[in-house]
Amino acid sequence: MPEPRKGARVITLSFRIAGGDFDSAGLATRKLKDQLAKLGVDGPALRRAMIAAYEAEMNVVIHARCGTLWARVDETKLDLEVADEGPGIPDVELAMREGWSTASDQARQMGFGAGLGLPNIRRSSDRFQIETRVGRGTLIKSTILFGEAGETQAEPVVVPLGMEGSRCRSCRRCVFACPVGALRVRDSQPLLLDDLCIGCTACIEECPDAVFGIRDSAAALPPIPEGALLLIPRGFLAAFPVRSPLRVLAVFRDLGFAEVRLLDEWDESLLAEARREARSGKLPVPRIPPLCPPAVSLIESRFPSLIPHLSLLRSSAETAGEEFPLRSVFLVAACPGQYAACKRSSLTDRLTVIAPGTLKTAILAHLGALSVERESELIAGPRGTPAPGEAAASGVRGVMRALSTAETGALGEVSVLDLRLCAGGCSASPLICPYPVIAGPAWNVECRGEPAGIAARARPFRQRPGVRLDVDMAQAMLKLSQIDKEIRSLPGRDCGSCGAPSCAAFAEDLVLGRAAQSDCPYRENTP
Amino acid sequence: MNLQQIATALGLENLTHELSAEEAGNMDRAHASDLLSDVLANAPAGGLLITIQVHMNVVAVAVHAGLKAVIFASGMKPPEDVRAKAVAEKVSLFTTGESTFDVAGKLYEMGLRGK
Repeated sequence: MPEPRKGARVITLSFRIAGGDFDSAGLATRKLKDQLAKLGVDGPALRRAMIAAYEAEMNVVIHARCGTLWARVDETKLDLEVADEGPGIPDVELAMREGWSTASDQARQMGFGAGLGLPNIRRSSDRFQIETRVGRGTLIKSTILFGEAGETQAEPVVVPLGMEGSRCRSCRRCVFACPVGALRVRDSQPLLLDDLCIGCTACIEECPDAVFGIRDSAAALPPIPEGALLLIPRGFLAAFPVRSPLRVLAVFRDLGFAEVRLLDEWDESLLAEARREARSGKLPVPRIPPLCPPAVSLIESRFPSLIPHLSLLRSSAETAGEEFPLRSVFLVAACPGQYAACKRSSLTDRLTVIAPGTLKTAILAHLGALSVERESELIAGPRGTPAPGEAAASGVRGVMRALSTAETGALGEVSVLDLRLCAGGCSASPLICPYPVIAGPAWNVECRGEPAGIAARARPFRQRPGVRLDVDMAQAMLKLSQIDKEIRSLPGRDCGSCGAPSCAAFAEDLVLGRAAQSDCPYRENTP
Repeated sequence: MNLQQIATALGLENLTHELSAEEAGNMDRAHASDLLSDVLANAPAGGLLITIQVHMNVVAVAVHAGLKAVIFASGMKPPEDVRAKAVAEKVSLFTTGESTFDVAGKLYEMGLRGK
C-alpha cells in the first residue's frame, strides 16, 4: 500500500473484506463512513461515497475470496480503491451494463446481484476506473469530490498562449487562421483577445516566424522523482531525429521516467463511453466526446446548440493526468488549451503539465549519449478508425464544417463525432511533432498498460459569452448600435489591412477602443 | 406525518420499541424495492423503505442511504440480531401482513412520494 506524502493533510484507511461473509458485509463501508463523518464530509458527497464503497465491498463479498478497501481522504476528495482476489471480469463492458450479473443464487435471494453494482459505483464517482485480470482479481478505483471544490476553488487559468512579439512581421496570417477571431495585429505586434482564445494551435501552425507557443510555467524540465510516469500523445515519439520509438522510449527511461503511457489510450476510453451513450438512446446524437479541449471551447463559444451533444466527461488528458493520484505524473500538453485544462482541473500536486518544447530540449540533450536499445513494452496495434456509423473530423476547417453540419441536424444518425482541432489529432500538433506525416498511423505503436479510465465532469459545459461589450447592459446596447453604424461605413472586403480578420471585427475594435479609425485605409466616411 | 401516525394508520407492528417513532420526525418520502443496489442508489434520504428482505444487509443499506425506517411487508420479520443492529443504528423497523404493493399504495394515498 503506497504511503501518503509526509506532512500533507491526508488520511489513509484500509479495511479487510472477507469473501462470502454476508453477515459482516458492509462493515468496511460502515467504518469508512464513521471516519468520513468525523472529517466533516456530509450531504450528497457522503452518500455518493457510501454507495461507491458499499457496492464495491459487496462485489468482493459476492464474487471474491477476499479483498481490501483502501481509502485516501484529503480536504477536497476521497480516493477509494477496492482490490480483491477473485475470478476477475472477462468482459468489463458487459459487466458495466445494468442488469448483467454473475452473482450466486444466494446473493440474488438477498437482493444483491441485480447487475446494478458497477453502474451504481460509476454513477456515484467523479472518477471511476476498473482493472481486472481473469483468474486473479479486480481493482476498482473511485474518486468522489467533496462538493465542486476541485473545480470551483481553482483560479481561472488564462489561456497560456505565449507570444514572441518581436518576431512578428505583421503578415496577419494568424489573424485569418484563428477560428474564433481572437487575434489582431496592431503596431506590428500580435494582440490576443484572451476571452475569445480557445487554446488551439491554428496560429501556431500558421505563423511562419514561430511567434506563438505555450507559455510554460516551468522554464526547464523539473527534477523527475523516482517512479514517475510520463503521459504523451503518440506523435511525441516521432518528434525526434531518431526513427525508432524504442530508442525514444529508452531516452525517457534515461531521463528518469519509470513508465510511459500514450494519451491516445484515454481518447479510446472516451470514445467507448460516447458509444455507450449513443447506444443508450437517451441522449442526443451524435455524441461528441471531449477529446480535444479547444474543440470543446469552440462548441461552447460558436456552436452552443451542440452543447447537449458533449459527453459530460473530463477531456482525455485531464482524465489521464488525474488517474494516478499516488504517482508523480508528467503530462506533455499538445496545445495551450490542453495545457490550461489539465492545470485547471488538477486535483493533485503530483501532476506536472509541461509544454512539449521543454521536454524536447531535455531529450535532445540526451539522445547523443544513448547507445542501447532496450526491449520495451511497445506493441504494434491499429489505431481505431471511425467505426461504422461514426464520423471524425480534424483540423480547424474540418471541425468547423463538421460542427456546422451537426448544427443543422444533417448528420442524421451518426452516433459519435470524433473532433480534433489539430489536423491529425494531438499527435500532429505543430508543438508535438515536426513530421506529422509519420506522427499518425505510420507510427502505430501502443504502450501496454492498465486499461485507461474515464472521469465525470463536475460542472456542465456552458455557453461561453465571449467578450462582453460592456458590464452595463444599457452601455452594451449602445455600443452594439455604434458597431452597426461603423460596419456600414466600412468597405466590407474583410481584407485584413487593419489587423482584424473582418470589417465586423474591426468595427467592434473601433467601438471598444482597440483600434483607430486610421487603421483602415479604405474607410469611406472620415469624421 | 410522523412515523407513529403512519404506523397507527396502517396498523403496523413496531419491532423497535426502543426507538421513538415520533422522534424520527416528519416522513414524506418512501421507496419500495427488494434490490439493495436499487435502494442504495434511489431511496430518498430521510425516508422509509418497504421491502421483504429481512437480513442484516438491509440495515446496512438503510444506514448508508440515510433511511429512517423500514417496513417489512408480507409478514416478513427479521431475526433478533438484525433487529438489535437496527436499534443500535437508530433505524425503526415495522412489519405488516400486507403486501409491498398495498403498503405503498396506502402510503401514497397518505401523501408520501418517491424521490
